[in-house]
Amino acid sequence: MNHTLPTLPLVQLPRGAKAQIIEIKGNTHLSLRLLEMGFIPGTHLQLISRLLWGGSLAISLRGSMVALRQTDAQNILVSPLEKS
Amino acid sequence: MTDTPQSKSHNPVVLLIGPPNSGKTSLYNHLTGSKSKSVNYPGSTVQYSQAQIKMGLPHHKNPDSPVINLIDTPGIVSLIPRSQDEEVVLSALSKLNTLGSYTYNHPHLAIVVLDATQPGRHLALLKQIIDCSIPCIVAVTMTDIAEKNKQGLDLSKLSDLICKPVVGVNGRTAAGVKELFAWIETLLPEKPKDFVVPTHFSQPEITNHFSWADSIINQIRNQASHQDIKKTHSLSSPNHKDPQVINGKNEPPDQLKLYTPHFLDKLTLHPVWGLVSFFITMSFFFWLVYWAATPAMDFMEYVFVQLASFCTSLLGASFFARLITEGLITGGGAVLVFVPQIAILFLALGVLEDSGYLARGAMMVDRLLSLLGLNGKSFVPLLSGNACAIPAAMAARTIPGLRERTLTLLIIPLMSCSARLPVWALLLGFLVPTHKAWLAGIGLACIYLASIAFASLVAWAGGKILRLPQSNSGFQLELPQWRRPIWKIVFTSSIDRTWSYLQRAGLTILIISLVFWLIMNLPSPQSPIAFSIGRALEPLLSPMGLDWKVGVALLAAFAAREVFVSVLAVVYAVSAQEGTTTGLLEAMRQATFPGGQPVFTTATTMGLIVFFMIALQCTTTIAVMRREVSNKFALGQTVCFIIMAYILASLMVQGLRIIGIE
Repeated sequence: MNHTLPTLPLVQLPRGAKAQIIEIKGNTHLSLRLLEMGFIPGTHLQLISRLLWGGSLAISLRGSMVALRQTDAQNILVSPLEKS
Repeated sequence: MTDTPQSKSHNPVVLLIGPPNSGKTSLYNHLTGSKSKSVNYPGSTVQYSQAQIKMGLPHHKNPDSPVINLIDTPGIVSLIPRSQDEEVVLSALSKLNTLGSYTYNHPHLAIVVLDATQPGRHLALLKQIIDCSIPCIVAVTMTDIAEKNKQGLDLSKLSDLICKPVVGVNGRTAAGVKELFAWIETLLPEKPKDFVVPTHFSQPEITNHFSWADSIINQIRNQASHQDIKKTHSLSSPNHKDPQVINGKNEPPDQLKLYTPHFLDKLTLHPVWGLVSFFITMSFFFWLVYWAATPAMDFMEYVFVQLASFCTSLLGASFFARLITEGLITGGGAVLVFVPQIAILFLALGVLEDSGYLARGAMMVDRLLSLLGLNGKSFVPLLSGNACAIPAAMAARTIPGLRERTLTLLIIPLMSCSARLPVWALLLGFLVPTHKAWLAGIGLACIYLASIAFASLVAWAGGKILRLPQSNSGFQLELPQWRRPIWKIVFTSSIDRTWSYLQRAGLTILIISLVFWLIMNLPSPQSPIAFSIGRALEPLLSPMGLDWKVGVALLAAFAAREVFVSVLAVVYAVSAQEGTTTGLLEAMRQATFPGGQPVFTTATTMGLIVFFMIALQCTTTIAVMRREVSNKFALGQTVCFIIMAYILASLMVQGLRIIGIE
């Protein structure tokens, strides 16, 4: 059901939306650190907040919350989950 | 402090290791308790806390019980370090002898501290540790919160699955600590085992760590669910609103579980209200430091007045008696009255730290700081720089990028540290008429804002001038769960910090006050040694519009900033009986040049404020900068800040005079 929805970078997710992680792009230190923090493909997340003027994102996943700079979240591809 | 020779003995080493915010440090405090002397205090040279603990239960202590060295390490996300504080953990695991005088390279045992409310990520780290075959015991914290949220983990199941001892511990009540001690004693090997920590994990490896963690959680939950259902039925559960959550079968797997934001998160992370609440929190923080301390400071002042008159009545007016009352009590008292204020500053910082707000604050300012070449993670070092630059410089180790870390260290000395508070109070007290004392509060806010603005400018310029590699580490920060501060820990740590501040600054202040009293009174009070020293400085002081007496005090301030106030009190021979602060302000109003024009005017006082805002006058800070960056950096920073302070202070004085403000 989720697969019919398009994939998009995490930054483009609207505030409050839930999504499933599809892929972490790249093989840089940053992408490895994101994986280590629990951004593993298949994991569900929710965008709790997006600060003004390109500020950080607050993301809920795996039972806790993480703040991410928007440029860091560019590499996280997600697929929005339908509201159920 | 440094290791005593005894700790060089072959005491077994036990390491506390775990993710950030997993409750390592509360556990460390419970484990060390009053049985040990902790060696961690701000400004120390240690990068981790270490304590010696005698094993065995207190009531039947066996003299043959082993003594262990327990080390608390900074939190890590993974065994692959990305910042200097994470590197410390790696050194503690495989290069222990580089950290201190330990006999072996490896610890005997590791206690892996995991948070039961976020099992997925924390078990993934445990998997890395187990894979390296590091001998370990698992301590699970926050089990009470997890159970309250109906997400409790069956610890004996966990122990069976991972084949390691698992102990549930409570950071607040210290439950489980005894059991942990027992396990340590049982498992402590004669010699540490050899192991190798990998230097890299690939993408599939990390994914595997998480799949392992997820499968462990699923196995525990699926086995537990049947019992849970039974329990649920036997309970008459009027306040269980959501029976689905209690049923273990419906508990979502960790990878699908979302965090339900606390109402404080809805406020503090909101795009608009988050910024508003950030601004209010910060204003309240500084307001508290200024206003809440006033009654305590009045009391301290009263104590010193009483002490001085007592000493005079006891000792008379001999040379020695004057040395005590005018040198020691006046000089020391001028600064010691600020101890309550400094304690409140540390206390307020401790509350912010312990509640979990600081991480939210860091998130709020990341965007702004990134424009200046800094990082959201610079926020905590910079905020604590308002208390003291030394622990702040240590806190900067958590910033992963070299560029961002160096620029943060560059501007930390520009934050208005607690040593400047006595100076601000004196100078603002002079500028503001006594019946409008509230203006001093506004003045103080302006000083803080001006310090921040100037520091931002320096960070921006420093980024252009210093050739630092561009950083691409970005900003990722775990936002810990809100929690009520543990008052006992907050109070103890703020008392410890204040005490270590006093130890660091107190003796300097007393010695310098005495030395300056002597050079003001020898060979005779009419033509003292200080006069010739001050005279030599006079050409330098004239652009700032100051006389030799202030020059002497400014020179003394290079030992410690607050000494400026003490030495000024000594130089003007303020008698402690009239109260050092009021007496000193009166003496400043009457101070004149030989020609009769006043020394302290609006212009010269403003000049002094600018000077103290910028000048790097703290030798300990310089020493820390040398260690944290390099000799060249520390030297350049010191020279630049002193020259800038001098030039801008002179410009301020001359500029104000040109526009007619004397």
